[in-house]
Amino acid sequence: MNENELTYARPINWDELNDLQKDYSGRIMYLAGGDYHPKVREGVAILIDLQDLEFDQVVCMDDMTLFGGLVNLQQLGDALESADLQEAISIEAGINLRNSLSLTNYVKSSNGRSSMQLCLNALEASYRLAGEDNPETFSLDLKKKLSGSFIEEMQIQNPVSLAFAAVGRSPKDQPVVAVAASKRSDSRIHVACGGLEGMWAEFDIFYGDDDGETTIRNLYRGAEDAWAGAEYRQEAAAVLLSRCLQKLWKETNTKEEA
Amino acid sequence: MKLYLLINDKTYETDCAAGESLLSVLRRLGLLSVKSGGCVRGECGACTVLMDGKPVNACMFLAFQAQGHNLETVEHFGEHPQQGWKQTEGYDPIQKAFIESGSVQCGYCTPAMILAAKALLRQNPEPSEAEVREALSGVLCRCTAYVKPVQAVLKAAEEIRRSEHETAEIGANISEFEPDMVEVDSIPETVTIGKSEVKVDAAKLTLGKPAFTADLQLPGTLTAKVLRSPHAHARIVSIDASKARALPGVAAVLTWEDLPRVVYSTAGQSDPIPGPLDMFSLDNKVRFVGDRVAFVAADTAEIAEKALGLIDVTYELLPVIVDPRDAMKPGAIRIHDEAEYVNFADSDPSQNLAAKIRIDIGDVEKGFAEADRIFEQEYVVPKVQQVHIEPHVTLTYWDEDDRLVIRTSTQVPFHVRRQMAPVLGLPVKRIRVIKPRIGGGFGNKQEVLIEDVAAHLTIATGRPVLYEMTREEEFIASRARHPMRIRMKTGVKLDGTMTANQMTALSDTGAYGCHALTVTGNTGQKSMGLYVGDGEYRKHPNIRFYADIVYTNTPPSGAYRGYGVPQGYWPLDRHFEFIARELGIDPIVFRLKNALRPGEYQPFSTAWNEGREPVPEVIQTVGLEQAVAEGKRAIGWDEKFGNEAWHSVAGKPHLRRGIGIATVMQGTAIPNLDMGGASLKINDDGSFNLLVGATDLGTGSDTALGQIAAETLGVELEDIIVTSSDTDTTPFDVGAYASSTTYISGTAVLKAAKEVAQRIRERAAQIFEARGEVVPAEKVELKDRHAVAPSGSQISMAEIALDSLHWRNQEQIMATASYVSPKCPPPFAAQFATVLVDIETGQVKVEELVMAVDSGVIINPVAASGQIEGGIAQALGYGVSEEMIYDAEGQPRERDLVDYHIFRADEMPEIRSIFVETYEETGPYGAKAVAEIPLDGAAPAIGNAVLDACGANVLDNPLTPERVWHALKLKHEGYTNGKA
Repeated sequence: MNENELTYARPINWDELNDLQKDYSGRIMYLAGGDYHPKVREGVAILIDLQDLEFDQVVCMDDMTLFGGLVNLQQLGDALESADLQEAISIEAGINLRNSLSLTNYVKSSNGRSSMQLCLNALEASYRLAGEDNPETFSLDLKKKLSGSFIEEMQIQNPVSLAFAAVGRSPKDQPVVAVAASKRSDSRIHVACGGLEGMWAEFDIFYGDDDGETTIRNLYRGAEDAWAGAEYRQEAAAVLLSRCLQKLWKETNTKEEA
Repeated sequence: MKLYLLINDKTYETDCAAGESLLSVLRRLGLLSVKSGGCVRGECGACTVLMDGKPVNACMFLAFQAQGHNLETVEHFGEHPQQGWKQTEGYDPIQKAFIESGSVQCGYCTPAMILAAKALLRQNPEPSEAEVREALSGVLCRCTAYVKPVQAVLKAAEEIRRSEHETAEIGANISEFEPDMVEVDSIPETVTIGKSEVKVDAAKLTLGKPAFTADLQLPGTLTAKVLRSPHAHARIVSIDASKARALPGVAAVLTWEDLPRVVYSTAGQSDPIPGPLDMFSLDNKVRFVGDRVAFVAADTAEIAEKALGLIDVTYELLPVIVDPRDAMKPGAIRIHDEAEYVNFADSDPSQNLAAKIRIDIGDVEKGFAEADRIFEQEYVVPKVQQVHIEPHVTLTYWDEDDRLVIRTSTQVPFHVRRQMAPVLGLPVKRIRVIKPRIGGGFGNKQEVLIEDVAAHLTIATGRPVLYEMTREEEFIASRARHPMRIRMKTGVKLDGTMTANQMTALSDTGAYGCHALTVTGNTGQKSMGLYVGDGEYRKHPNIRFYADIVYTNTPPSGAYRGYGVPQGYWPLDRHFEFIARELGIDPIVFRLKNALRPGEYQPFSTAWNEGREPVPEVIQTVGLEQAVAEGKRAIGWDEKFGNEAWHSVAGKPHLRRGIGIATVMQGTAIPNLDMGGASLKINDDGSFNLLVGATDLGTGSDTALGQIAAETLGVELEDIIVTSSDTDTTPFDVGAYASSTTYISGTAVLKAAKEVAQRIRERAAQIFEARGEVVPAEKVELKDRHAVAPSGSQISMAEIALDSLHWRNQEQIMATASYVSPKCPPPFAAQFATVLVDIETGQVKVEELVMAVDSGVIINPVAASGQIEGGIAQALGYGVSEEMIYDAEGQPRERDLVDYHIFRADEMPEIRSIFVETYEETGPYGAKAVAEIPLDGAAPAIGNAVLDACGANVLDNPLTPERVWHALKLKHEGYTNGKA
């Protein structure tokens, strides 16, 4: 790539964006806010900076909160007012990085040790990518698509009822075991767990069913890498899940009493 | 493309490639306070700027993304209060608080921290400590443990609230930041010594002045990159750099075929280097993942990186040794088979043996035979990284006299010059090494690591070359602390008397043998040397230290603050804790019963001196008992230890509290080897230039040396202009290592200052006589910038200067002195920890760390306590979170500061330091060393606290949740010694 041939554009409305997309089809790199290490890919002819298209907005509604793909991690934490989510984001990054990194670039780079992503998965956040009509929940396919696209909107249902617990080597270390659980409007508890880079496990616990211990132990069977052994992870994950569930039940009871 | 940036209320217009980062453009525009930590995941925060008032990382945006936003850097705030005839507003209150509080150590992250604080205080003028910690959470600091920066921000907030316009003189508040001090010995009255003076280099660093190596921007400078091996062990069969050389913008590509084959050691040590010569600038063999394959110099970093990808290398893969236990097995692949290898002492490359140590003191077998019980156990300590926030960086260029200038971030400028000369094919006299400001080193810059890369490329191209390592390169290709597997065997009487103590270490030097012998020698010498036994055993201790230091196909180990001693104290102190508990003796009583006392020989001094002739040394000052007493008081030992109510947490049965101690000893310089020089001369106004070869890497040594000169000359510290570490202009000094600077270089300064003071007295006596007052020179007192006669009449220092330089019998009052010590008086300390252990997950939360230390007389309490706090933070990481792991192919687990986690401001435990001051007769104004000892005891104290909390006896460091969990399982299965 000849650096001199690369151009930069900052569209101020959808029409301009559409025109650029047509003119540079297949040779576009989107600048969707701050990124870990912005680096121009081979073959890119234009950098389209999305910052003037209002993707950095948070819209709070009764039943859901909408986040543009350029919302940064700090905005996200502030908007959802969940202490556990804020703790997960804090583990993820110090304040500078939270102010810098956008939702789009975070999701694109996240892995199974990403605390905030586990929380978003527990909350069953759905993402609508540029040019697509239907929102989708997190998947490896979504991450793949983000390498050439961006999040227009992420939706999270209200009210947010989230519990997060993790084990790391220090209070703000990336976890080797992490569990996030969210109470859903249909009374399910949705659980996301991780602590290994490639682990994206989610399951539901229904009222009246078991406490999820067997399920989570099964999920961590063989979950061994350079960071921790499977036996340890199975034990610790069961403990963390139990704590998350207790927290959610306590929260529910407190609300009901109120 | 044209780029317009609004920075510090000024619009900058510049040509910019669309893909250029904001960090790169800001530095190109001369905003050099914005630093690069070499990271790629925004981890370090050294490049912090304010964007629309919020702290962000400049490395995470392209420059064009910042167009239209309001950017601020630290250059926007404050200026030196005295600018000649120009009126200035002086320092910003935050800068002032950082200066006064001793928050500035290396200063590399200081501008970033100040910006983060600025953003906070604009929004929240009355923050809590937690809010300050949160605000600083995006900037990693390896020097301060964030203790003083947090205090500084709180103080600045207070000052701003009080009055925005009322600025007290710099230094007015400094006493508020002083640590607790307890005098053990009678200490003579002094004026500047013992006073917390503002550091001589603090102001410029809070202002973001271009003080560091990469801040010098020379026209035509090329950027260097290094092609690194993807394999842990391989022979280079062929290497084709033709495509890389043909790439436009590439000025040079060098492979092993292009360079003379000169064997050397990268260990920055005195001549002869006490280790094997086993390294080449480039070789036809690679010995670890990250080893050098080729050098490239190009117009830009992007072109250089692209060129790396165009170099075709064919490797013949060789068997890999990762586990040091495999290195000496029969039939193991030989890692060093080069003909040029130069042995030192017992090194034997045919056995992958870089060094071997066998030290016997007394009769160890007899001691074991006399013991009532013998305890044996094996412990493991990990490889860990220094993590200075400024990466290794070197700028080389030919000066107008065709001498090669090496401007480099080094702790050892004079060793760089001597050791690089043969490698580059230049005589020493044609090399000038300049050490500018260093952004932290912690031993990793006691390595002559990258100077040859830039220098070879300057020789090849004739142009200036800048080589700055990335964070990934720091992890895979710099140096680290030697990992060791250590077996302890200790004989004791039932009353707790130690009868014999034996340590056997297997130390992993990695692919090259730099510091192999000397680091591991320290492991035994300075840990085992603390304990001699009691009664008759005090006179005739029985101690054995054996070590094999072996090569493996992992990145080389080297010097890291503490220099082998932290490796010794993990097994020794954990072992002693276990023995005391097994014997039913109070762990503190057991330690002190067997510890060295004043008037006794440091036992190792009779048998070992880093491969040189031993120098038996009687230790005169030992403040260990007082340190233990003060530390116990500070942490509330008596209320906590053995108190079950304190150990449990109400309503949380899965949490247990614990308290632990470790007692430690370090060294102060290397006797009869470390030498420092100093030159001192008077100026017209009665100020002085102090030239020292000593290397201040953020420790405050320039300030301490200035204080020694000021005290001796009876002037203020601000009258001493300190210039350090330029091989052309300053006297020789071995450099900053072995905790030697205050003691060795400080004594050289003291000697030079005494000589100058004597000459000033003589001239003053002449002036008094000319005025009709006969005063013997020895009766003239130097104080308050004057020479004072017993009658009270006085002559100003400026008048003496003018008299000597201009008026009569003109002379330059000056002196040069040097010092080498026959002694090595050790500092002592007691380190304490309290922890909270989750007994279900094994997670350890360290709540408090207290260190009481005997470092002799403290020259500058605020600066010295900063050394203690920062060292404790590094030791905290060693205890719980830091380690470097390699898979069977030698591939590293850690390549960045996300995976290699160092503590942030918002997760630090409470840290407290206390000085118990002894008076060491051999040190300048009674001083001993302070810099390394905080690294020694925190990890074992934490380990002991975990044992105290829940009975988990973790033998391998660090205390990861999984290790604690496993130890708890073993305990529940009935194994108390940590092993099944």
